[in-house]
Amino acid sequence: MGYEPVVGLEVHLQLSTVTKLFCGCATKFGAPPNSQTCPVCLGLPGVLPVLNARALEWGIKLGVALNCQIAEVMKFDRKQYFYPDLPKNYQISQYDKPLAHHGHLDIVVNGQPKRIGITRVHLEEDAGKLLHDASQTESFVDFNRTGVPLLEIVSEPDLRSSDDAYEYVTELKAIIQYLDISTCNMEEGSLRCDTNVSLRRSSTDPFGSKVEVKNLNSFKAVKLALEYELQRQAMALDQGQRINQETRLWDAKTLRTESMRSKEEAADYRYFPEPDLVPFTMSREQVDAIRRQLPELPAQRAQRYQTTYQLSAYDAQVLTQHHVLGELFEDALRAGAPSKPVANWIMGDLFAYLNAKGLEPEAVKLRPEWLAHLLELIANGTLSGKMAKDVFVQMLERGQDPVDLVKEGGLQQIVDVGALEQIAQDVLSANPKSVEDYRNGKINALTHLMGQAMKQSKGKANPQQMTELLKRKLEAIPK
Amino acid sequence: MYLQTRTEGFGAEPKRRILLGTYVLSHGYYDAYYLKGMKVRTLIKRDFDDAFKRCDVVVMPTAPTPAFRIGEKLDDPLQMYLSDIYTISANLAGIPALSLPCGFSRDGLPIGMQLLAAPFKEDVLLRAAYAYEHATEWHRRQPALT
Repeated sequence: MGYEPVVGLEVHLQLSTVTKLFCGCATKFGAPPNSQTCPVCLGLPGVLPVLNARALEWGIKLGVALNCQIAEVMKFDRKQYFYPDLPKNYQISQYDKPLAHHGHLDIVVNGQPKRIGITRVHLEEDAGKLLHDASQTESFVDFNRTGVPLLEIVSEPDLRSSDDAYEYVTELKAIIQYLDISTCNMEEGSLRCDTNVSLRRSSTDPFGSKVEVKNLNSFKAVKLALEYELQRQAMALDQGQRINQETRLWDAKTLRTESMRSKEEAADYRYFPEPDLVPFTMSREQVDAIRRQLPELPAQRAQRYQTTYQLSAYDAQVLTQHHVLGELFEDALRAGAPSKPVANWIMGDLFAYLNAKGLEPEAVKLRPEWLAHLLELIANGTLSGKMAKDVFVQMLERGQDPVDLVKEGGLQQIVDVGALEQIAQDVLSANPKSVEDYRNGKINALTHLMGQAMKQSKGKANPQQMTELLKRKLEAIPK
Repeated sequence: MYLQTRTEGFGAEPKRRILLGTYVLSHGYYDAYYLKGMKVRTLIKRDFDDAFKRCDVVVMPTAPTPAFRIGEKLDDPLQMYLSDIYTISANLAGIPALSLPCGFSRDGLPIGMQLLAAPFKEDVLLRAAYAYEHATEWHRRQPALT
């Protein structure tokens, strides 16, 4: 039977501030365990938290970018739970007054624009990290992460499919990267996702019982976990079962969600205002000053690419999804390259390379002027399209200017007509059977002859030119 | 580990307060106790705000009774809380307070006087206390130890 999925997403984002949210400890990832701690983040008695102004500014920045209303009074609360990764036994968070609320994020799903409501954005501190694998009998805790600033971004239950959710996270990540407030590295845990999922028979029905799915630690996991959970719920409903309100955990190994705790076991966090941080006001001027610092965002940039460079809506969206790709595109144009071919190279060969290697665009050493040089080498006939593709990969692998690669590798296309003629003549003499076939109307024979000619030229002949040459010579042989 | 260290390390009173605090913040009791408490606190603060419009310092006893014997009221927590009744006003209202000797009971036990002033008026408190010490000798007298 058909159901309508109702999905909301909760994203936890680690901000890349140099210091923690309430103390001066460093936030560097991968430091030796417990080397970035102090009495404040360890929750020793008598310490007082001091708010990191930069973290607040960045939170407001994201709030503004997500079209939110910004709270006039900033207030923090204590969320209490007992777990070994939380030395204070409470987390400083924002409960009833999030720093930003009532916003929206526009996404495009399969060509269709969609507006997703943003319920709230709030600032809180991260917990420590428990390590269970180092020993059979002991667990360890690393407090380096304790107190690292986190933004929690909660969407309205406006998502209707796993594709919606995927696009939402992708667009959110793009905006965050444009704002340059987080590395968004899901593997290092700087962007973490939880989701609320329910099904209903039709879009006018009230929401069904919702299940929270946690531990979505990659973009793929967001999609796969949602697909699994939606199917699990649909099957249960089809069999006349009820959906229990519960929290489930996504297991990336088994590709299933497992029940973690039911509604009855849900924690009571006993929030109350953090007495060590007094509430304070944000003036409209302060918020406007932050608003003025906002860079061009992905949607605006995509619009500009369409109007300025006549790119299609799709191309513009893809190119602006990663901040570095947009930069690469524009810098290559500045280096003299034409827009459409640059866009094609980035979305074609570069994407293929990234996919094949499983790399993020940030990981690639590609200078924009190299791309411009490559296009120049194609335009002036030094490289054929096919050779350029090889040079492109070499350029990425070796991190070298294509001009140098061509020089070093003797990769120039043969432009000497005499040399090309000689090759064509040799090939025709060596393959009388194919020549005969061609003359008897088997046009396919030309393909074989071309292959031989390219082989003999070691790939350096311009294929178009060689085809012309072979054809002309074949036609010229008297009947 | 939680259970054993907390059982051993905390006395009866801290345990009582942790339980009470947990209870009043719990889901379903928050409005009746914690929220109500916060509102009462605001009323207390307003009272002091009003008072400090008319005077610089409020004077009151530090404690409702002279000192009792060690361990005397341990099994009566309510009486214990009531011993603090005059000092917690300052905490609730968010104002500075200062306590200084002001005499002795009939049994020879020292009695404390508390001065309270408006927020950030510590200087007023210290000057008033200093003037009182210049005018009296209570702070120089020691109770007889038996």
